[in-house]
Amino acid sequence: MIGLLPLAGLVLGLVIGWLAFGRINVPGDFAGVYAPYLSLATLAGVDTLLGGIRAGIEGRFQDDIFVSGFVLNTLLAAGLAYLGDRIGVDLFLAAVVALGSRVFLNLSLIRRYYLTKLTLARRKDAA
Amino acid sequence: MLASAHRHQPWVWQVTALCFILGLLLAGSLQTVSTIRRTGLPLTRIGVGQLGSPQLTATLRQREKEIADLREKQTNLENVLAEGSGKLQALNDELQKVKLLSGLSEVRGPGILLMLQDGKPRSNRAYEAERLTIHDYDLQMVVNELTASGAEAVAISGQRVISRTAIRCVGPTVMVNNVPIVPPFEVTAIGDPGTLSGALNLPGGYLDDLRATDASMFRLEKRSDVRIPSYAGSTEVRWARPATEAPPRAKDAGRQ
Repeated sequence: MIGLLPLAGLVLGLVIGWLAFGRINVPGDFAGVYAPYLSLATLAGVDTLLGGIRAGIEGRFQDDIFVSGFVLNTLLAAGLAYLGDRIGVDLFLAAVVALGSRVFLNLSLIRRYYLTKLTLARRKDAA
Repeated sequence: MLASAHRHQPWVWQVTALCFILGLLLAGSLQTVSTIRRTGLPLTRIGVGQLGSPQLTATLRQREKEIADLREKQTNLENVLAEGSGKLQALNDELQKVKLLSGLSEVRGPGILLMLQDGKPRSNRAYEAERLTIHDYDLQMVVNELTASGAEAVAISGQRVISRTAIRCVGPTVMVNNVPIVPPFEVTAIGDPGTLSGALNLPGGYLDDLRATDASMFRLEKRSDVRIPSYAGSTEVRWARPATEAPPRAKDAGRQ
């Protein structure tokens, strides 16, 4: 049951965020300006989340690393995107590529862990 | 699911908290993107600030009216001045003809009236809004068509189109003679009403296209008497000189 907590948190966040942002009603011009930053922050969040789960199942989860990783990654990604906007280079893409590859790496490690566990459990049953 | 083997470990709560924040961010992104979709953002962002405040626009309109009045008074004075003298009379006739051609006097005559307005979108897709909007290039096309078919004076919403007129899009409005105007656009032209309306209605022509899009976007009327105001913008000439004179030096002409 406790494993469903992250999922519940995600759903709760989605609902509250949807209602809150729907209420704010930002002008379209402005939305176009900050949309990339928000997407990048979301990506950084996904990266930290999967990193945290991976560390958790590897048994070396440390809350200070987790929280600081989330905050700093988000800020760095947004900062890079802003700098890129200023100097006319799509540094935004650097953050997307770096974070994206880490997301896939972490996801594959998590997948392997559970698949190995499943195989071991089956062997035990068979034996 | 995630923690079946790791029950009661502290990281589940932290991951939950992060998931909550992630949900907030994700919802924000989704809302933002849907806002962008909804507004369509087809508007040119450049120059919206140039539209100025309503007060400035009102002042501008008032000044324009004053200029038009002064031009009319000048024409009257020129006529009075020329009375009685044959030479002056000839000169004045020529002057009035030139003023009429250049758009510096109010004119009237038979012609057409074309009302153009944005169509009503049936869906909120951006491309449809684009098609149903009367753009600066629509007005340019109409003016070009009218001039090509012999219109002798053209105005858009009271702005006389002369050789120095620019028609361009600035934000949600169209600028004609640097004056922002908004739909419905009222294009008036003096010329043979049959020829003018026939030219606009040519198969494959401008109104034919518009009719295929949304017939409620325009209304074309032939008029027996159309009044077209004089040009009320700047008549300052800095660069051009009659070819018989020496050209101005860039330095002198540029600084006024």
